[in-house]
Amino acid sequence: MSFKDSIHLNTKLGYFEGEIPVNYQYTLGVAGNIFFKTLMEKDEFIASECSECGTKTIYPLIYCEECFAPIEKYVPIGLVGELYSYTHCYYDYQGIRHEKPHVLGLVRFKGVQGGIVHRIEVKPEELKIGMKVGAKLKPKNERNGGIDDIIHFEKV
Amino acid sequence: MKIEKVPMKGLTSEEYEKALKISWKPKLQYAWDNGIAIGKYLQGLKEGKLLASCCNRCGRIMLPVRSFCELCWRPTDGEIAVNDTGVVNTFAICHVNWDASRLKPDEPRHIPAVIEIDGASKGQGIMHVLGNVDPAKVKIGMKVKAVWKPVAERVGSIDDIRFFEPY
Amino acid sequence: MGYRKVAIVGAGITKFVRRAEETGPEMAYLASKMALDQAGLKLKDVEMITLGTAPDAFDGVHMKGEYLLSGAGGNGKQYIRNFVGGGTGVFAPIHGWMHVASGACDVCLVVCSEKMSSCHPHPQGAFLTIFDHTTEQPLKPTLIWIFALEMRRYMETYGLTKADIARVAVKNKNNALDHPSSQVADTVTLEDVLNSEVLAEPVHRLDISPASDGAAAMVLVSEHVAKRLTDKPVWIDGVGWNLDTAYWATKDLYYPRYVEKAARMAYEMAGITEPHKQIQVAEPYDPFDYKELHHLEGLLLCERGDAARLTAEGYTARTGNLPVCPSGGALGVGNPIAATGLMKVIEIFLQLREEAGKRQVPGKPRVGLAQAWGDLMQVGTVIVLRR
Repeated sequence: MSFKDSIHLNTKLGYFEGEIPVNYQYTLGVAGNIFFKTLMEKDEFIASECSECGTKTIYPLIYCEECFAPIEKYVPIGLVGELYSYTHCYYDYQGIRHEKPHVLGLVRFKGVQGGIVHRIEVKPEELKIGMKVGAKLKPKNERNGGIDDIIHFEKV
Repeated sequence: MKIEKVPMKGLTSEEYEKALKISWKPKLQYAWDNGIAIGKYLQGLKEGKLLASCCNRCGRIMLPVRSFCELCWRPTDGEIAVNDTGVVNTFAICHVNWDASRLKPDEPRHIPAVIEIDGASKGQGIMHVLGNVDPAKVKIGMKVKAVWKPVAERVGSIDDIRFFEPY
Repeated sequence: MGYRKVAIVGAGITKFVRRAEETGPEMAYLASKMALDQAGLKLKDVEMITLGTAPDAFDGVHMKGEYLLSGAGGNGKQYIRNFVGGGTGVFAPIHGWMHVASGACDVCLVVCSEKMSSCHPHPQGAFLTIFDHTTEQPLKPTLIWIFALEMRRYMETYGLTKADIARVAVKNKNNALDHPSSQVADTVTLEDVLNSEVLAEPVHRLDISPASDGAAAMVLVSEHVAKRLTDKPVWIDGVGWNLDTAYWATKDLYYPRYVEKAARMAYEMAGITEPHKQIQVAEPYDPFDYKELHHLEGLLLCERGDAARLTAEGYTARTGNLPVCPSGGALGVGNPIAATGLMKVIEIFLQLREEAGKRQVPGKPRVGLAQAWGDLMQVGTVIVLRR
């Protein structure tokens, strides 16, 4: 059985336009605050360290994902990590083509779970998985507690 | 086991203003297809008619137009025009906008109502707004009639009925 | 009916607040960890997890279930999000019950978390598209319209006054003074409610629960695990859920048939034949004060149209014959949608164990009920607990 009518001429199809008129303000959270405040003030990445199983995690959490213990310790891990993977992006998120491709990479830190995804500024011929890269930060007075306080990662 | 102390304390307005936050304003825009049944309903409105669907199994005459009877779960059996009059089943007098901002004292109040349409099965109501009436005088059971936009201004929308007014 | 017995052995909850610093996963963690600690279990003991949370548009995080996963302990486990709108908070433990009752697992963690404060200018913005986009949205409806419409129809049908309804807000906001999680507990009087600002006649500001951030969690286990963990298990004796059509304007707005159907399912499972005599403490969903009355009738805990009289006579007070919302409910404790429903189940759990502290109802209740409701007057979810 099927419906008794159908529309075969798509120009007869009507539609109604609307939107969901909301915007969002996300708090950084307890662990997020510790991470971004430390980055703003002390030029350092912070990882959470589980006092039960020893797992370190970046971005830090208030709990250990492995054993669910509450985190009591946050440890500095510097600004230098290893390039774990990367990609050349030709279009931005709205589908507009970049003048030259952007390199986006995942940076990991020794002995730490997780990592940071960010822009990578390295000469194309030097770009290599496993290379050491460090975060270049904005001048202190321009930081506002977000991921853009990091300009990019570059070769060290 | 007792639950006497609970975690989290919440931020005051001041603390919230000062807290580090990330903002995002998405553009969530949609074009919702009318579909066949509602397309007919809207075409009817453009022509100044309120259309209802018939189900030959349960005998209901239903508003708005639908492709299938949700009780019998079978295709409906065509449409008929019902009256553009009805009875107020319930109503409200609204002083706020959706974002919780308040209407100004001189702005007209919104009076949404569920109106049971004459000629449709009992209880077949639609939501619309009332107009041309003193809010204090609206009553459940009041008879109301659609006030249509001029033909030239109708576009095939529920707004082609400007509001319902007492008659 | 071939179901395994399922016990509740632990519960956790955060404070309900207007704006939390904590992120969604952080809130989910605080409640989950507390529930596991109370049950004497570690995350490794948990086999399956079910998470209840309202639409993504509230938190502004798409795929919110996955986002909240690690805080709810779901990392690398059988984890699933459940959702039936505002009815989710009571559906979540029903879903957890399915996991354990069916034999799929012995230990299931149930978590509900909501962070509505992310959504600006008001979480209602996310609700606008609940109305039919073509036949209703052009009228610029707001969510409060439908509650005002339903409340007026309810008042008209039974000849109730606004004072009859406002007594629920007075009771619940005062009850909430004794709840550690409460956001809007207050010593309000009937006059305060009636004199509060009119938002959508007949709904006043104090007739409504607030938007909230908060989380709650609960541990469900099978019978043999329960016996190892506690000598005070609380059993899930009956569950029920029911959903009605989205053509809400064609329904009898004065009576929630879907709640009755959900309740009948739960009562049959629990062997309850005379609910008004056998249910000794109840937590119906009260996002608006008239809703508590509406739901008491739908739950068959009183005659239709009689809930207001019983409330006025103190029958539903904490010391009454049938204490209703001894927690303080959504009106007093706060309303972080899914977490509210689970808060209500937790309240019954504590009441049956006689561990509700200052909120404890007298008479050592053995059987209690929690219920949630949601969407366009569509969803009823009911759970019956027994000690």
